[in-house]
Amino acid sequence: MRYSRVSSVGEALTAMERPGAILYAGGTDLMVALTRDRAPSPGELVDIKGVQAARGIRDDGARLRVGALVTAAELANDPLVSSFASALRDAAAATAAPMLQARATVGGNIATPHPAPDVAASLLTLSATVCVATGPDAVERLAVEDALIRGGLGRLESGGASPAMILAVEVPKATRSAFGKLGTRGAFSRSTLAAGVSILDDACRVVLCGDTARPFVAESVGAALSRGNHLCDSIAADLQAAITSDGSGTVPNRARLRLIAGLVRATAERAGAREGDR
Amino acid sequence: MNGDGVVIEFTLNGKQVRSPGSSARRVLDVLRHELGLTGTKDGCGVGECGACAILVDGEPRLSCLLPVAEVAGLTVTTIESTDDEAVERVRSAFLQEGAFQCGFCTPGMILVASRIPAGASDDEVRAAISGNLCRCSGYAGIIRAVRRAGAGDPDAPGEHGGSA
Repeated sequence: MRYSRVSSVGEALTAMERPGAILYAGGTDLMVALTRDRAPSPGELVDIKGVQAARGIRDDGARLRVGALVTAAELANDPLVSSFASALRDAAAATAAPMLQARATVGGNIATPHPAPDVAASLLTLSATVCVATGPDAVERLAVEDALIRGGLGRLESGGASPAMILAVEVPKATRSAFGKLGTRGAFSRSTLAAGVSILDDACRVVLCGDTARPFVAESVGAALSRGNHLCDSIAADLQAAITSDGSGTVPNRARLRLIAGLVRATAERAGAREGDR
Repeated sequence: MNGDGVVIEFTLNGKQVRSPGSSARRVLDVLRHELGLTGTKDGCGVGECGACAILVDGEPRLSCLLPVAEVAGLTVTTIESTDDEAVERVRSAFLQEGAFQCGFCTPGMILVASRIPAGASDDEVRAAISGNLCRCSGYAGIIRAVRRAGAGDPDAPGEHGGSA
């Protein structure tokens, strides 16, 4: 297996046209897949960490632009992210342990959201858009949910009709948002249950993950939260709909529904939800 | 992973070394199997246990997830290093505190702990070593050792005990 470095989007897309080439950034999933033989060994690892267009966090007015190569550690410590995308900061800070946070990238979590989709779930909470480079100057924009529904963009990158690379995410600024998760071990665990809450234009948006294959927007839960209603029935209904759509998972028992409700309420409180939010 | 004919050179514990195998080979395998430095442990292999931790240009990294090509031209420090003062200080504190039982986690734990700022609280130490699992659950002694090494007072009241 070869290893190569590229420093521009054009070089990355050209490299992907070589047989067996696969993009490589943090490697937190890819290296595991390769060394454990869960994935066929590619002919070439194309290291994209030198692509400047996919780096950095900047204020674009109504949105933040977060480069696909930004790491969880960078997200967790960035003042812009803290101010305008707290859910993203929370998720990044809760992602694994420091050495993995230093490597795991935003783009990687969208392309390979399993088994720890915390960052992807927080981006869904914040209604982010994924920018995918399909040419040196051509960018396609996808809603995060579309990217996740398409099974992650890894498929698009490696098997699509034409090469493509996740370049960045655009995150609408939200001064009220939070992300919380529960796991078996406080310091470093894959979430067994996670919830993101954002309030934009006084509307609550709730995202749940842990009981379904992908994080999903729990619309009834958001509405029930705004009205101050009990959440368990809404959670059960939203989970049922998500499971039907996903084709996997089971609606949890009442005890777990209460646990999810508690997590949603606690996360909403941290996000700054208040009575009257829609 | 087959060789690709590329020779990777880097500085290992103060000495220049060459790895002629595949440039995509894990640093962990190069250290243990090519260079014979078995202090770096092959634990979970998926980045969860921290037994394979090394320092790359002074920063803690998981050698099980790192292709050797990524350390080309860089400085790698392993537990066999004898010229890193911070590593030496933590190693000494581990001995003084008896901060190991089976010892499997110790190399990675010492290297990661060597980069914890002096005076870190117990909670900060716990957060910093949260990616290093001690299966013997000897965290209390480890935290005391880290605080001793960082010139924190290991006998400070109200900060002892617990697990990472």
